[in-house]
Amino acid sequence: MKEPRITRRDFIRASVLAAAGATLTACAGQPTPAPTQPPAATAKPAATAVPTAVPTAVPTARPTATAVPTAKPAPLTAEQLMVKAGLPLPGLPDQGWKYTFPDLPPGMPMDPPLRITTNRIVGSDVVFAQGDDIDNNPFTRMAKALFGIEWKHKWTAGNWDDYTTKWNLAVAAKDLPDTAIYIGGDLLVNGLKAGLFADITDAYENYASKKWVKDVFARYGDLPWAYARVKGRLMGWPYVEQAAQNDKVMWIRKDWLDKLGLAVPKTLGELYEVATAFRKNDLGKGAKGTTLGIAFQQELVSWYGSADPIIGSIAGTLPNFWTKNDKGQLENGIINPRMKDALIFLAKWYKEGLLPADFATRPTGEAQKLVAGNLCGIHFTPHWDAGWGCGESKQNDPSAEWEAHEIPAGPAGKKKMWSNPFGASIFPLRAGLGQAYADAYVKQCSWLVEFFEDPEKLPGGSYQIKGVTFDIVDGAFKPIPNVHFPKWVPGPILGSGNGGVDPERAYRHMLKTRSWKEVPEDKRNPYQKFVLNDPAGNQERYQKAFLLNVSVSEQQGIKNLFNAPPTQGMVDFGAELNSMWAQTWTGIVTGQKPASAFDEFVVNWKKMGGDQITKEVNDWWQSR
Amino acid sequence: MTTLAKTSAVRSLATQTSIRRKAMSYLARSWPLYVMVLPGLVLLLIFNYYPMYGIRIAFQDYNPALGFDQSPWVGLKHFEYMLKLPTFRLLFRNTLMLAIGKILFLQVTAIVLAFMLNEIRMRVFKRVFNQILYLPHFLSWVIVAGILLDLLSANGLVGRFLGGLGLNSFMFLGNAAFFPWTVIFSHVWKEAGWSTIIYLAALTAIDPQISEAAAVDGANRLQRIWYINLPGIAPTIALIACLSLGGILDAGFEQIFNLYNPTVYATGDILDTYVYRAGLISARFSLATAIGLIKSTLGFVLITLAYWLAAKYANYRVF
Repeated sequence: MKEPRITRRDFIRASVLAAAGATLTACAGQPTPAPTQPPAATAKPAATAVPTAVPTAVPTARPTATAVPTAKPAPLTAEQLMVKAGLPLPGLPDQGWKYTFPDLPPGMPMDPPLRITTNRIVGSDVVFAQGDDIDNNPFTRMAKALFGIEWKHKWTAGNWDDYTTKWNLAVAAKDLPDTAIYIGGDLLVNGLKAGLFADITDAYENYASKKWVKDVFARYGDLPWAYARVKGRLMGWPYVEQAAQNDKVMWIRKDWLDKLGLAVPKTLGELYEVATAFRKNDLGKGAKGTTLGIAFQQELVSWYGSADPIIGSIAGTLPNFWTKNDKGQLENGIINPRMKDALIFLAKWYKEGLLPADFATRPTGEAQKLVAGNLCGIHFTPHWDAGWGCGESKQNDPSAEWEAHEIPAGPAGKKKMWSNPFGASIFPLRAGLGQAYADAYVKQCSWLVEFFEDPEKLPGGSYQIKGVTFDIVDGAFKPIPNVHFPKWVPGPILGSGNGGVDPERAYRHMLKTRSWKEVPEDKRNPYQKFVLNDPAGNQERYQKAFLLNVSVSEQQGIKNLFNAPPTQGMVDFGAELNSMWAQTWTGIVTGQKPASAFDEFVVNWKKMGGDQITKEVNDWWQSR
Repeated sequence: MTTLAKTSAVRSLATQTSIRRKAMSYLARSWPLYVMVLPGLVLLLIFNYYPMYGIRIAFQDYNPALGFDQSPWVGLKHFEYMLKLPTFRLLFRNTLMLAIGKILFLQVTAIVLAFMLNEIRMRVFKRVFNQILYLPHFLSWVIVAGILLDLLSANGLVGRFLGGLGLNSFMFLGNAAFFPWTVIFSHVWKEAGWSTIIYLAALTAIDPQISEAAAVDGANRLQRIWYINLPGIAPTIALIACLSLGGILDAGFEQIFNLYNPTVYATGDILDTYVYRAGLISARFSLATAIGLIKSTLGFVLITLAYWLAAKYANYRVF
């Protein structure tokens, strides 16, 4: 017979059990010590049935599990779960700065937690608090505590090109993350063709909030699902930006106007006169004679220093925007005859030095430097520039008074790009994952929407954690620079692009913030004081521009009526046609080509695939 | 008939065994060399030959989601499309013009520089100049292009100077007629120093006694360069010229990509930049591969030709 020997392992096991038992009895202040764990520890070292892992779990997990009587397990609220997981609550609840967590979705938090892998673009704007990283930060901890979802990043990319390449590699290697961000264009077309994405229709029907998701989407008709819905089934969650996010206002230097005794230009003719006056009087801060008429860069329709209000007001349409022509058919604005007038207009500006001489080599973002460096007094940029280009301009030159105004009118009236908040990309789930993943995903999205889009629940529209995103210094709110909660969130809600469901969410939050002015000064909480304390005037400037932009968006916006994944013709000829267009318009504006080059371009555009694309787009329009 | 066949069979068997024996003894002697070559060979196979399997996507409508096996075959569709592209001829012409211009100007500059350096008598000066001339070679095009863009911008150094004369400095990068020259001269500026190395080496190989003898006979510096040094390095020049042929379809993606813009597509757009825009930006992998394949095939032919020419005129052989 084998002699019962006490091995080293038995000894360790016994001592761990003993230690655990001791901790348990020490911790159990209440008279109900865990009944399932009798003093087993000391006596039976050979009780091999007790796995070694159990003892470590005993002290923390067991008491709570058994403390709640089996009768009616009242589910914990989100707030209680946060506290239980040891996570800080947002705001300063004791100083009247409270957040209201919505009710948790059914079946959450999941136990055991569900691990969902994803990918991200992590640019320089994604900054973590000390000790945190992309898989472990206030959001991922919150997701685990509230939803029982463990987020794990399979890979990250530094920029879009990088992201596209990595995605294509992952697709080719058949090693996709469970969910992905921003799948649009060719990636979307190819992915759908190959059946890469899961059908989330059932999860959406069952778990998306009626009030906060379904009803909101319903208000916008076909637009929200233009890309995600295929044959009536939802193949992903749409990406939704904010209303008027990329609509332009005319930013103009009020102090320069006053200095020269000029009025705010109302028409393109007046705009030309004002721009010329600014340049002639050399009001800019740069070297002598470098003042420009307007900020401009290498793209006609872009997000900074854009020409779309000028082109739109002259031509009534925009390049690569599909609008209805006289015959009721969709036509690309690129070949509209009035586009030639717009180019001639710009060519004149260029010749007279109102546009930067080297604009064609300047990437879009660099136009901001013209504004911040006080080289120009006019630019067409969205309202959010109040605190960026215009804000920096004021820092560099305290006399700078930027004001947002309506764009000037041209032959076609006041027309500019209408930014479609429903982006051309989707957030898909990998096919073959199983219903549990789709359910969990939709539940998280829906809950986040309800929390983050309701001004009553989320004061000021921003999620602030003490010691992470802000500090209190001398009783005053002080933000920790560059650390932003939304940027840590994977998925279509929040995230680095601040996605959501309702395009009007930012507007609503802004109105709420404006209403705080009515709160008496001594009643304001630290955050309200911070927001309303606006010495540089950036906040006020921003809000005014935002209000203006939203109020004219519908009436002045040119809508692109083609909202669908690219057609075959676009895939085949798009690159070619666009480079031809870029050559033509920069050539005409810089005076290297005569204006008649435009007519030649129109002929070539049609011949080289444009006609086919037009037909495809109209077929789509009919079959819609 | 049969005996003949039999004898030849016997003979071939005999030669076979003797060949085998020879081969065995050869192997016994030299197997360590083969083992040493093996890792390199394996890497070559993995990284240079195995990826060629991917060439097949030039003949498919490649969709990464479907992979190599599932993507539909389309024959020569992409090649036909490419040849029908009105810009293809332009791309080809731009590529050739830029590459030839670069080779020509670079080599001439390098030869002149090499002669000049060779004539410097003070060693310290020679060294310092050498180093200064080599320096730009080590800068990446991203940096050089950034500097150039700033220099030539409206508010840059050159821009200000030209602005004072009433000129627009943007023309160097934004005017289709000037752009190729900007490309060629910035390339020459960057690479000329580095290219002198081989000529300097060739010059040092010339027996100095010839030069000294010529000097005694009354030849001045220019005459010595013209009658002694130039003929002395002529084989090197011929060799470099021949080998350059192989790179004639490489007009320098990195440089042009960082300098060009739509205004100068007419003269500045080359095969490589087009492949980048069509293939990677617009995700048309098949078309990009087709163009790349054409380019590689032509490159292969040219390199073979160059090697043949080099062997013929400069007596240069690798094998």
